[in-house]
Amino acid sequence: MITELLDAIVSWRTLLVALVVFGFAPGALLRLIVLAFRRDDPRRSELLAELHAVPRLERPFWVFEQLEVALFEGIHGRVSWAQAKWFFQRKRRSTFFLRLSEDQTTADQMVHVDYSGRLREEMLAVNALFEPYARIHGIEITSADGNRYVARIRTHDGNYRLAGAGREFWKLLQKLDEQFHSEFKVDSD
Amino acid sequence: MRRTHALIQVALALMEDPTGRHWGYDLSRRAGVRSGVLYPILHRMLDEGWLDDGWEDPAQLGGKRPPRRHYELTDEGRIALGALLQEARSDARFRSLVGRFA
Repeated sequence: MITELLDAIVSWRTLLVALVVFGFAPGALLRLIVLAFRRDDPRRSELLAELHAVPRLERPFWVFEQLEVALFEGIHGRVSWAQAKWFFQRKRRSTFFLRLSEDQTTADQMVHVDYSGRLREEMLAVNALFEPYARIHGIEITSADGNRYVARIRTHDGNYRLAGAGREFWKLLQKLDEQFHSEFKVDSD
Repeated sequence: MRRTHALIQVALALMEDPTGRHWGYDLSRRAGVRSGVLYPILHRMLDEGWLDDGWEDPAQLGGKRPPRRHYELTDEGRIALGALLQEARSDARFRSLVGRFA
């Protein structure tokens, strides 16, 4: 009987805690939940703002629903983003991705290659890759020909949304492969 | 994009007001889908260029609430969703769903 009573107390406590957490502090709980999304994922701000549109009585249930969203979407996003970064790290010896600024209309204005075959540091805008709406050009140094390098540039002029999950990065890589390939000679210094 | 009941429901909710702004919670209620289903669909539509998104202007907000994110159909999105719903009408799996709103 005492055990049953204790069980009841524990379950009542659990219930009370659940009521307090989900019922009285849904905003605080939601702030913890959205941490599952990557820092630059707009879903973080979106869900926090959306909470204000949810009627008060529905909020505990809605917040609980977001827990499911965050566990699946947020963690999946983090994993695929890590995969994409790993892919980039592995590939960067042969392929370079860089962003062109809006006033640089052709990729060959940007390309300078040194004798080590690496793009100059200021052009290897790796971090820019992670900015939203970047214009992306992939440049692959395929061979050296005397004092010139042969590069293949894979261009896509569309603006890609890169601020979301890693999945978008994968899509970008796939699209780059599907885009036209143009080979040209690149003068080295 | 793979055709599912949820996609058709979201498409119907968006096409109820093809030129208006749509908000996450409101859209999930009107479409009758959970947010765990809604947001991945919205993301795919953004990727496809069917939707544009934006944020409320904080300067125009009353009170302390943060700016909300909204979604709007693009021209491409209106055409794509229109075609999607047209096809759904002739698909036995979705006919009852689309028929109710036709």
